Amino acid sequence: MTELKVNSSELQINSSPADALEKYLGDPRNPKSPISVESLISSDLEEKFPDGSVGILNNWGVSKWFVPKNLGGELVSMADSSHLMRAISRRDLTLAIAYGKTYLGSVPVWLAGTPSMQISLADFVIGGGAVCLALTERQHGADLLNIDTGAELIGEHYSISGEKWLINNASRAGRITILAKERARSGPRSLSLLHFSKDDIVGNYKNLSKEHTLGIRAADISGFALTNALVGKDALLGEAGSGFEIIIKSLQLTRVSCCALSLGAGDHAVRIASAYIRSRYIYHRLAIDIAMVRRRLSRAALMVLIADALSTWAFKIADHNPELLVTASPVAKIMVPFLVQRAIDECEYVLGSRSYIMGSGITAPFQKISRDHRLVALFDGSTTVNLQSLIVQFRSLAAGFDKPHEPPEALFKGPNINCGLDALRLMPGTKTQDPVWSIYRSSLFTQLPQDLCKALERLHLFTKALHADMKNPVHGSIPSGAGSFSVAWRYCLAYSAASLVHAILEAPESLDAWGGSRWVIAAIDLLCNFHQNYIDSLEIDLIPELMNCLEDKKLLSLDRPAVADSL
Amino acid sequence: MSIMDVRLAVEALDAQLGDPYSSANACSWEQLCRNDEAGERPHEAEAVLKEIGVAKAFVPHEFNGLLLQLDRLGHLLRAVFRRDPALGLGFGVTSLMAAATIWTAGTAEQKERAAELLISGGQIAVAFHELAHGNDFGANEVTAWPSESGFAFAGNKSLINNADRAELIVVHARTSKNPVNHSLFLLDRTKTAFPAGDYWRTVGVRGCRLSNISLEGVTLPDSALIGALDGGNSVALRAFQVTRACLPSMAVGAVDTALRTTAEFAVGRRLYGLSVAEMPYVRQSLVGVFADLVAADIFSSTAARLLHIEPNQGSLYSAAVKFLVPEVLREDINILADILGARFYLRNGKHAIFQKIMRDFPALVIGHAAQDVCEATLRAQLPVAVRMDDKPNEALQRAIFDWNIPLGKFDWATLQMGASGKSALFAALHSGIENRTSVDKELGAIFDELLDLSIWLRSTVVQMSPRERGLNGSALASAATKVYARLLAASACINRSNVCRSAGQDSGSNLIASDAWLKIALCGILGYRRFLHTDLVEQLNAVCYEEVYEELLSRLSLNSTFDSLASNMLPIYNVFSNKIKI
Repeated sequence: MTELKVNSSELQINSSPADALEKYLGDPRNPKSPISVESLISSDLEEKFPDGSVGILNNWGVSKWFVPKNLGGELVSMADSSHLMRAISRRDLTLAIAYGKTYLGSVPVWLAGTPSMQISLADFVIGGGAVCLALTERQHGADLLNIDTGAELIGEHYSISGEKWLINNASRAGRITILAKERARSGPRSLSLLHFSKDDIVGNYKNLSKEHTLGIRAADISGFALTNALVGKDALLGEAGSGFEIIIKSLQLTRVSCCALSLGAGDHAVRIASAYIRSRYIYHRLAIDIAMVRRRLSRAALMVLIADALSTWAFKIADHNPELLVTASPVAKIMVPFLVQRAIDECEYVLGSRSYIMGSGITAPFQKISRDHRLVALFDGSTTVNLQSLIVQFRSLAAGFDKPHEPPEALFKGPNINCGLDALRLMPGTKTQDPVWSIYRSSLFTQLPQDLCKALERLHLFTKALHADMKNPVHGSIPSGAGSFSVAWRYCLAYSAASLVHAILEAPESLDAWGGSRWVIAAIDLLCNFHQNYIDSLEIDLIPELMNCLEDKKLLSLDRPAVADSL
Repeated sequence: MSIMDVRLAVEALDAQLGDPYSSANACSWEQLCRNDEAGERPHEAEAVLKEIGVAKAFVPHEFNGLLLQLDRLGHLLRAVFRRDPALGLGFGVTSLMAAATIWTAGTAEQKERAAELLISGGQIAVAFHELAHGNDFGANEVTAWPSESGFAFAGNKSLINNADRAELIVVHARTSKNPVNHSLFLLDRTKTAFPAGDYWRTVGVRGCRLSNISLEGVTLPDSALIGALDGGNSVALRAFQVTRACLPSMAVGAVDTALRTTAEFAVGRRLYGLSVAEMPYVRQSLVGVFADLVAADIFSSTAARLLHIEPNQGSLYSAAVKFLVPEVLREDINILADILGARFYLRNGKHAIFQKIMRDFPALVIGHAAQDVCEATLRAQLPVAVRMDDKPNEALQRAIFDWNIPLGKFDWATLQMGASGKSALFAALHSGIENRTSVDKELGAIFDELLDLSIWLRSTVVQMSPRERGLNGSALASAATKVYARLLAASACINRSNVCRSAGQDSGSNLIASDAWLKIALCGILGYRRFLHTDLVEQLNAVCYEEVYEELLSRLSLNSTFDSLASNMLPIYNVFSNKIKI
């Protein structure tokens, strides 16, 4: 397979910070480890914020990876930072979500803050401070243009009034990034983003009480109310009225970072189910020797691997070509949580009643993973919001698809532009071809093994039919109907399959790590036939590779970095 | 008893359960969420059920109960599941499972004792589960052997609902070693006292009390034996056909409430200058769930009717329902969660019942034969499953699909372990399609797809070796199993729709008679709706969706249920309260 190598040295992900953190955190099954599954399960039961675990992450310095290099941090590549988050989320999603929120609150400042604000925030974040991102309100949810919170410039101050609700870390955060409406303005240009320290508020600030949630029960999900609260006018990010634009750009990046949350959860869930079937004796044999069980768990592993490939692609887009995030970001935000939730559901069938009891032993964390993970599809832009954002691009994407397929090398050769932070070029309406489809260039077909080539042809047909449908003018009406949404889902399925092909072209060794090209073919067929009943007819067995993964203490991913885990 | 009578009985029950929206009411969603949050049994709600005498529905008519027809059982209990699935399970359904073994094989004395206990509002626990063996109860290790005074026991059961309070317990125990065979025993706590172990904490159904029991040192008299010695597994596999068909029918009630909660939110919530329900995607998603819910009702009710009419195929019908319906409904809950947005995640506030249903529902999916167990039952028997007569028996078909035709009392003795004979429901797919009048292009295309699948299934099954159909068989057999279950559901929907069309009965039937509902329901049956991309679905015109949406809105505003009965959940009258019959 070496002939497939495309500059892999240059594209290789340096996973060493995650390796180091993984070693530092140690085996999560050991109750004496700094961050143990046992302690996090009990903090979930008691709905008690895991302060101790957050302290350990701060001591190690994880938050440096939330801060760009030029501000003294370590944030150079989205992949590195995300792999760090994955090392946390594979131990505990609540912790990862609570901790990672600071990055979400900081990105708007990295994008649009003044140098002095950036320096001050960098110090704050590296020092372990928590930042919250206050966008949503009780009555408006994702509809940011219609928020009620107002900010009025009075002399040297902004006076802010309103309530922000369902805000992660609202009570714990020392600093706030908030979206507010300037009454004097109207339309999308009426929104401004402000960033300030809670200590600097003059006037009325009130925390709202914690909301009790289905999952991430230990997290600080609350909100706050401001009544004529004064902050200095230098709290403004970018220009007055540019808040919406900055948020849209920020979300493109942070939605990609959400992948790390799902990937860790997927690894954890499949790891538990894999360990379980090795020792579960049922119907006169070990569960691992029952074909029906093997297929279920193999499908689960396959979903996680696809999610990993798609995330890797999206991280790379964020690092090198952020203008392409207009498609990569929503697709990743839709598909990665979706695929991982499917994987979790398959594991639930494998685990049976053990997925349901809050007992002890190796399966104990599972019910928590399942509850916690449901949130990932929801925050930072729900699946529906992201699908709609793809639908509005259908026409231009379809026009772009008709252009010739160019090889993607040129795309990724440019200098790393600092995780997209200093060059967010939003280009909706671009009519060039999305490079994810470069896998259809004819030169590639001659390089690939024949069976894979055949699968690629099936994927090509699926993609062509999809793009033909995307041209249908019926998709122009907003808000869209179920037909448009099902086309958008298909776009996500095809895009995910294509990103997987990119992943194995760039790292052909990942083919062999998972038993040769058959799993990629299975993944392509799975994605192209997601709607069909016959999906169960997929003969796929990844169990030997999955067991190797456990025995060799590797992560369930394409590049299989080492993990410290006794499961 | 006509459908109208069933509706009145359900409305009478709802009237007695009281206003689900009134927080002061014990059977309101708010109160039941409070009980769940506290992890406590909903004692007050249970007292209401006891007062009404809901458990009479589990007791055959000849033992002073109300149980005649199995399809009615699902319809009635659904009212309890609409309030709270954990209440339904905790108060009654595990008692029904236990009782089913007694009605199937018990002595007259055992039946009378069980009937008396249930009618007085007591519980019977069903002690099968051993954590080490799960669904594979043929491997259970609790052992009973003959002793001086009857049978002596050793071993432990785990996760037994109501083990702490049930006066009677049906115990499954190994009674012979080689070959391994089990027997069932009726343990009477008033005569044999023993404590239950600690409660298990579970992610959902927190109002149920699941505990371990130790049978070490317990002895029971010979008269405790239910059915023949060593015949326990056979009894269970027959009796549970009834509960496996009925439980998904009851589960429809939980999704009814999830849909109601979401639809109320969508109508009231304004985003982007519109109400959420005005967004076509949301509207069509709501309609899809509504259509699935009705289809799930029809499929499970049809299977229950077939247990009366064609008991020799009962093992297939019940397994197909338990295989398909919970999975479809669970996917529907996920779709509703997308619409509900952040509210689906909150344990407080007026939508809190949603997250409770989301947590409770897996108990109905994994409990009482998980999907893989049902698949194993089905795939092993696929050749019998697709065997059908060339010419359908019209009277038989009428009895299956015309719910106004009474079936009389259910005869538990007719249940059989394995399937034999021919399948009327499978054959009815073809006759149902043939009998449909004025089929338009869209419906015709859907029918063609179903017929193609049917041909594919039969030819695939013929070529399949017994080994391929086994536990370690091929993925193709899994696909065939899924297609089989979906075709049965399609057959039930088409034929029920045809009957409603010819009879033109009432509001619930009008929906089922409509082409609009049938098309949307069949598209759901054909695959995951979200990903469907055949032309017929994308063009499934907005008119269809609007027509069904009108019905959804009307039921929402009238507080009518979304199932095929469209009964009123908040009846203003209470005159039928003493007339609950099923």
